Order: sequence, then structure tokens, then C-alpha cells
Amino acid sequence: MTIRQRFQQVFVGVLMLAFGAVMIAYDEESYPFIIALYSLALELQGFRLIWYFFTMARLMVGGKSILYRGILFIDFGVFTGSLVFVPQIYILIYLSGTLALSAMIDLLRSREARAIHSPWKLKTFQGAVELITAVICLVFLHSTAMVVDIFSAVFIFSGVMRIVSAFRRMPVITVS
Amino acid sequence: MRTAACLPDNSYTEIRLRRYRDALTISGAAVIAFSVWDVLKVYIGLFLGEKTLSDYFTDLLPKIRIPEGVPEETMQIVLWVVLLAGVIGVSIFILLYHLYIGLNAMQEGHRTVKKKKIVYLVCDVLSILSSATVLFQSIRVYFVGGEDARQIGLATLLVESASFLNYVYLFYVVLKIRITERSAS
Repeated sequence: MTIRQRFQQVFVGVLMLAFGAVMIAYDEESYPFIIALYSLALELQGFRLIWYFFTMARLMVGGKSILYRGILFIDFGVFTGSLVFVPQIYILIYLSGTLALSAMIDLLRSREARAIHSPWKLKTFQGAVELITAVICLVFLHSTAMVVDIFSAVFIFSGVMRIVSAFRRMPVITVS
Repeated sequence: MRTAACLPDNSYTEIRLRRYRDALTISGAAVIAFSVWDVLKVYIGLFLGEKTLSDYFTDLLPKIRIPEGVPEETMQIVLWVVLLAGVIGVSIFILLYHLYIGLNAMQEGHRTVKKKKIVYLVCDVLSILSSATVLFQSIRVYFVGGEDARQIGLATLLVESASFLNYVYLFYVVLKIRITERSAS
């Protein structure tokens, strides 16, 4: 990782910590907040992709797909923000799905890291914890307040993990 | 130094053809992606949006003349089934139509079929016309303002114009590929 990437990781980690704290504080009323956060993240991702298209991907082979992806992301974000009535259970199912997905990605990455003899234990731990919490959330789906607490705990946990992994020394892989 | 096993043909027309075929593949994939997103949006809007499917149901119910001898419960069930079947049928038709265009374009881009197809180009022209009318309507509503001006945001306009330009670009690229191939052979 470069210095700038490390700063970015720490920044995102601190943001995740703050959001976790807010979610714990407002308990069940934080559902609209979760939706707003989600739509904002999607819009930012869309704008980033479109910016990338106009600065760089315009000149790449197959760069047009990035433009289309950015436009779809923006529309998805705006549309998600415009939903007025969403039953909490859908949000919970969606969030558990995302959590399970990111856990799977972490586990696969740690396997990859193990194959090239780079540090893998922390990543495996993180992925396992996320996967277990996703399963627990699906089990306790009926009591919404408890699930919010579990989610905020996981949020804070992954924020801390992000900050920790930003300060670690990474081996640089060179292609010979 | 080892030489490559397969030397690519890097003549001028070959490079141009490769570029066009790549663009065609991306355009086909984008057609599929836009249509899937549209259908998804309709479904989410119908079940979670401002005006849900049950609102339409309650709007429609008093307008229907109930034949004599039929209890009201059966009429309600029939109306529900008709509404759901209509929504699902239309969405499946739209999906299959765009899947046909997109898959054919991707096949031509990957060169997995030898025969040159015309039918999907006709479908593409129809799509160009329909999306142009939709886009024109949206722009008119967005800038002039009508009774439902609130429903059309800038993001919708962006997606509609992108999908329209995508259809036009797909047609242009296919024409370019055909012309270049003919002049090369």
C-alpha cells in the first residue's frame, strides 16, 4: 500500500467507527439513516466511476462499460434514496447478504494471501467473524433492535480491523 | 528470446475491426444490463414505492362492473391475478426482447456465429425509436413541467439518454463492422 492508500484506509475506518456509534445510540430509529448512508455510498461510487471514465477510461479498451456502470450506480443510489416505505425486514436481509458477501471475499482473499506466503491470519479471522455474524443476524431476524446492535458491533469491528491493517507492514510483490 | 506462438494480424483494418467488435460486445452487455435494471426498478417501485400495487388495486376495483351472481371476493381474486400476471408477463417479454438483442450483439462481437443476422438489428431500430420517444417525453416533462414532473429526476434522464445513445451506438458499430468486412474481402 502507498501512503495515500493507508490514509484512505484509516479515514474510512474512523468513519465506520463513527457510524457504528451513531447506530448504537439511535437503535431502531436508525433505519432511515442506514438507507440514506447506503444511497449516498452508491452515488459516490457512481460519480467516482464517471470521473474515472472521463479522466482515464475514455482512452482504454472497453472503457465504455465503466461509464455505463457509473450511470447505473448513480441511478441505483438515487432510487434507493427515494424509497419512502421499506419494511425493516428487507433492509435486514439485504444487509446480512452484503455482510456474508464481504465475508466470503475476505476469506477468498486470505486464501490467496496464504498461497503467496503473505500474512493471512488476520484476514481469515475477520472473514470468519463476519460470516458468523451474518448467520446470527438471520437467526435473530425477528427482534430488530438486537440485530441493529449486532450490526453496529460488526461495523465497529471492521472499522478497527481496517485501521489495524492500514498500519501493518505489507510485503511488496514484484514481478520478475 | 522466445517468439510468440501466434502472431496477431496487426493491419489497419484488422485493428479497426477488433476495436469495433469489442465496442459491440460492451454495447450488447449494456443493453441487457439496462433492461434488467429497468425491470428491477419497476418491481421495487411496485412493492416498496410511493404508489404500490395494492394502491392500483384499490383504484381499479370500483371501476369494474361486477357481473351478477358473482361474489365480490372472487372478483377481487381475479383482479389480483390479472394485475400480477400482466406485470410479470410484460416484464418477462421486455427481458427476453432485450436479451435477444444483447446476446446477438455479443455473439457477433465474439465472432461465435458465422451467419450475419438482420432480425436483431430491426429490433434495435425499434428500440431506438421507442427509447427516443420516451426520452423526448421525459425531457419535455422535466423542463416544461407537467402534473408528474416530480417523478422524473436527473438520474432517470441520465439513464434514459445513456440507453438511447447505447442503442444508436450499437447500430452504428454493426454497420461499421459490416462495411469494413465487405471492403476488406
